[in-house]
Amino acid sequence: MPSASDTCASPPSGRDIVALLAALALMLSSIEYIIPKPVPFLRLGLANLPVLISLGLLSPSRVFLLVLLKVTGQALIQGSFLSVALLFSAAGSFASAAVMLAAKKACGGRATLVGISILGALASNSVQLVLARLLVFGPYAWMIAPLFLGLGLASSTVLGAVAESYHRRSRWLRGLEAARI
Amino acid sequence: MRRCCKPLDVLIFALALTLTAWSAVSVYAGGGERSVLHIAGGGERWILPLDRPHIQRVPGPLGVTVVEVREGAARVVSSPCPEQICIKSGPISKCGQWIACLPNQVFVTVTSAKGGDIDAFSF
Repeated sequence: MPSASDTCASPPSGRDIVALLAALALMLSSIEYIIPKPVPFLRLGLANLPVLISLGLLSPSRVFLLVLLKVTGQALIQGSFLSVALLFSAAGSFASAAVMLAAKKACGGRATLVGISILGALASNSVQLVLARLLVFGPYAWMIAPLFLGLGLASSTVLGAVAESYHRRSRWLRGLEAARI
Repeated sequence: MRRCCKPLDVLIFALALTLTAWSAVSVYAGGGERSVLHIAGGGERWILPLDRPHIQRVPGPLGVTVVEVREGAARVVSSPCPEQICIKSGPISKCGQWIACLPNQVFVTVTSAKGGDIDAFSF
């Protein structure tokens, strides 16, 4: 007869983890929404924390599924569904996830989530600046770059450090990674 | 306790910092004695002096954004966008400052009159 501890020990599936991390992203998006924005499409990127954690945990396709859920949830919370802002957010988030997955694979153990997070922010911000250049503001888009890149660097460094320290301390996460989902 | 970050992290940080600093230098440097106001919206561009009072109506996809030039500064006084971030941005007067309205696709910025060629800011 299986005891209670046996049922608890059965590892959650990859889909369960995507759902859990997407819920976390949604909660962080709500918190971020309360913080006033000085300029449009400038974000702290709190909702990227679950994506950073997912890198060592999920397959690339599940990471992209998580990003899709994050972007959709954010758009619903902010009321920017089917708008230019959604296009920017989606393009930035997917570019960031692609670069972070590639960087994680290429760097192996030589970089921590701090470096990976900075590369992800750089990818997201570059893609959004190019989109702003092509679709909205023309050559003036470059004027936004210093603030955009500077804030991205600061917030991605802090978020990367938070994700890295959580990654080192969480026994739950270590157990999941050991189970290799 | 292991170190908080590795040499490659520091290298990546330095790379991103260099890129940010380079973009800042290219945007904020070359501040001439005289600054001019650039407004872009609805596929049109206006270049205006900052020392003469003026009201500019800028058409966009949502409607008309009104930019006011007064006392050497420019501000958005009315906009059809939902969040009104462009109005809350307040006045701009110094070289490199800008106001952006993403929903109505209007951009207002102050640049040096000397480096008047806007292509200097492109990628």
